Amino acid sequence: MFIKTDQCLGVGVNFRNEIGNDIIHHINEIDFIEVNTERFFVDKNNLHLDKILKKIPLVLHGLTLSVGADQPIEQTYLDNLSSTLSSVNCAWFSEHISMTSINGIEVRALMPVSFNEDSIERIVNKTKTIMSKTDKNFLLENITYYYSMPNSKMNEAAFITEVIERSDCGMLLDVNNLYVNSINHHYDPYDFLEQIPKERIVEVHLAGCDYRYDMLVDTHASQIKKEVLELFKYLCSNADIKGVVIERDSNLDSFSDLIDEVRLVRDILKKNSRARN
Amino acid sequence: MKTTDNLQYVFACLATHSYIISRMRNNFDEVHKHFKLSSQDVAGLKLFMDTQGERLLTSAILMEEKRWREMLPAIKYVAAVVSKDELKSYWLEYLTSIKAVENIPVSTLSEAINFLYYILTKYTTGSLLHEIIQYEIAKNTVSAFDSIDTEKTIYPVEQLTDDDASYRVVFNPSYLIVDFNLPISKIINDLTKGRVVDSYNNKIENILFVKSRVSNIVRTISLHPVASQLLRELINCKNLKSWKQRVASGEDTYQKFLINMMDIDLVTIEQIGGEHYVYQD
Ligand SMILES: [Fe+2]
Repeated sequence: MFIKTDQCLGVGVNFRNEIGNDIIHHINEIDFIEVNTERFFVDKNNLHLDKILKKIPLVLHGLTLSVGADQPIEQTYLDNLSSTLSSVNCAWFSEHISMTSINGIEVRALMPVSFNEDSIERIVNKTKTIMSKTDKNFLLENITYYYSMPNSKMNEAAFITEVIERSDCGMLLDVNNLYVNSINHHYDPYDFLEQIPKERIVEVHLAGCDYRYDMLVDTHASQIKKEVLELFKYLCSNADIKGVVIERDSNLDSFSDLIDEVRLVRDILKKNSRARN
Repeated sequence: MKTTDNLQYVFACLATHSYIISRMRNNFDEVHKHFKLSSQDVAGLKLFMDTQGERLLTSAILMEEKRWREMLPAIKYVAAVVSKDELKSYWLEYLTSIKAVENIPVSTLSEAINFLYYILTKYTTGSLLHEIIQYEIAKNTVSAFDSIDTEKTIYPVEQLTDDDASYRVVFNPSYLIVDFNLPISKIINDLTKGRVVDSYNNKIENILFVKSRVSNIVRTISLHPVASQLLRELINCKNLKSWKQRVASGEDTYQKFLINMMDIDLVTIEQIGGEHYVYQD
């Protein structure tokens, strides 16, 4: 069951080993940390992470649940998730509305699912299974997709709304993904925001995107686009955001550039936050 | 019994193999070489390829480019010696060597190891590149080992009693010892400093690769012949007494060696049948 929380964590970043030391040095500038859930399945003694977690709150972000795949959740995954959720103190945890593995094939990327009733049912069932294991809020995130899967019968916003509401879970809205999809699939991102259950948005992702092969791609390798920041600003005054993560995976010449973005985003969040008014 | 492949499975295979998509775009019948589909799915896939095939191809290429970029740091010494064009052409060759229904490596490290093994066959045994590739294979292999034991159990060497038979050595499982035909530590040192030397005199060098269970960092240590012998015997001995009997040396050398091996987190010493001594940093 989705439970509204009062506390806003602020603005955080995603953890990567390469920037572990930088995060520690700028710990006072970062409000919370997002860590891949699966890291806790294998990497139980990360020195940087241990230090970080003593100072700032944690949220978990999964990559491999493959919630949209036409196959049951693997028991090992469920066991690992349960033990992680009981051993680490996270504010909430999330996953992508996507497929990352099927029948033993690991894609190592997020693949879209068909926007249809079968997919909704499958995702809702799995989400309920996951949520039955914990009382922490579970969020589902919109992904970028460059092609629409065959057998899609509805638009993305309607699909996501059904998934989130019928699962009774929270939403992680990736504003950059929304912007990228709106350009590649020619729709109005503000219309999208009108359709989805904004009261269920808990966390927001922001990142950079770039043109590659005539498509806009969520590279996580550049600054956040001004159009994305505009969308974010609009969202701040129309949803009760509890945390924002800036996702940056490469091309980070100087860590202080990321910190500058954290400050900028925090400023937008504070000035435009609906909860403030 | 499975009669047809699930369409999601087919997409997962295609998304990870751009060359199959390219071939299918040239000749759709290629699909039947790899997958068994219902006639309804064949029609759906054909329509998809006609309308969105290029987008699927682009997204598959983007994923492969990401895998390439992510792998480069794990093959940095090879990349410093082989030209970018040559390496990239091997990469494209390597991609087409992975069958349509075969999993791509599950991690960047395993991808790097697979790719290094793939290009190893292109160079003569004992050649400079062959040795560098082997070095990177070993380092990545050790790096990919799971960190199993997180508790550091160390018995301080100074506190060992005279009864060597009552102590045994437990190895951190994340290590490898590899013999090289060239002075590999000098080669790596030169490459690190941006010096590319064409030839080196033959010299057998034993390298120990060990991953710290605390920092997860892989250290590489060039083993002196005496240390090499002490280490190889240590691996096989059942207690400290039998180890000392196998390699005759001074008490001082034994102690220094054990302290060094514990410092790099390669071994811990346990009292047989006794309590573990947990050493707090
Ligand atoms: Fe995201």
